[in-house]
Amino acid sequence: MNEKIDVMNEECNMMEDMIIKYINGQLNNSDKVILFNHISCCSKCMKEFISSLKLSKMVSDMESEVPEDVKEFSFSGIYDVQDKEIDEKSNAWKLFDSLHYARKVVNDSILIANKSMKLGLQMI
Amino acid sequence: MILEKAISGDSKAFEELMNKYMKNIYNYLLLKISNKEDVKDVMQETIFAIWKNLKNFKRNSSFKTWVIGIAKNKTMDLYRYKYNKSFQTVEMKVIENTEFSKDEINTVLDKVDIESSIETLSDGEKELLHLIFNCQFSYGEIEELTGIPKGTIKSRFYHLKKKMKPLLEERR
Repeated sequence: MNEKIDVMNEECNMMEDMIIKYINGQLNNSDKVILFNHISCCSKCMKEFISSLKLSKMVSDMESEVPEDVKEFSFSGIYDVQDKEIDEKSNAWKLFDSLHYARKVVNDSILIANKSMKLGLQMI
Repeated sequence: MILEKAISGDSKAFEELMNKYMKNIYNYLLLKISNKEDVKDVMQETIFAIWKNLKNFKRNSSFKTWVIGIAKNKTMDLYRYKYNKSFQTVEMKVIENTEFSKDEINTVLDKVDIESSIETLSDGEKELLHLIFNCQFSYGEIEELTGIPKGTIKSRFYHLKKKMKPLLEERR
């Protein structure tokens, strides 16, 4: 008889964790069977099960929805940085373009100077 | 899959991923910070820090534990900033206001006994319930996040349930 009570107490200790896992949808099927078998014959754990369900409901009712302005503001930091990075990239391209243009102007000028020199030499 | 996309720099995927955790983060911050404007700022800093550090997520812990851990660190940053800013003035005020009369203590304790509902729980107790039921963290994950040993968490939860017993038994 005493042995039976001890086994029940040990099981009761296990149930506490199982009840929370069950409520949070993290209990596997075989443990669900153990849980329901136990609470169907243990009034103490059945009470614990019902109380925990109520507590879980109360706690989830306590949660507030995230206001839209908070949501928007939360992501604004990321998008601001991304916009800045895009601006920096486009500025880098603009700089590259202008350097490329300057190089082209210099090359063209050298070509013209070369041609002029050749013409000059031919005339001599 | 969506996490991989977010890690690769896809901001839309990141937003989609974070939408799953926004409510948990927001409510965690509400329990930690009293001023709503500060909550908004810390929320933004948290999301930004997650985005910036996504590549460093080691997968030793669950993503949710990591995310709430960042929210916790950002909250600490706020406290540190506020503490440094008002160190001189606050210090004296705290010292002056820490002494309560016995009557005051008894009144507070009576109030807790009588109005034993979720609203009267301390922020720490509400935080524990939020982490267990809303964030669905295991005791191990809560230990990882808070640094409080599993056994202590379990016993705090036990006492909390005991404290709320009358309310839970009468509620239908």
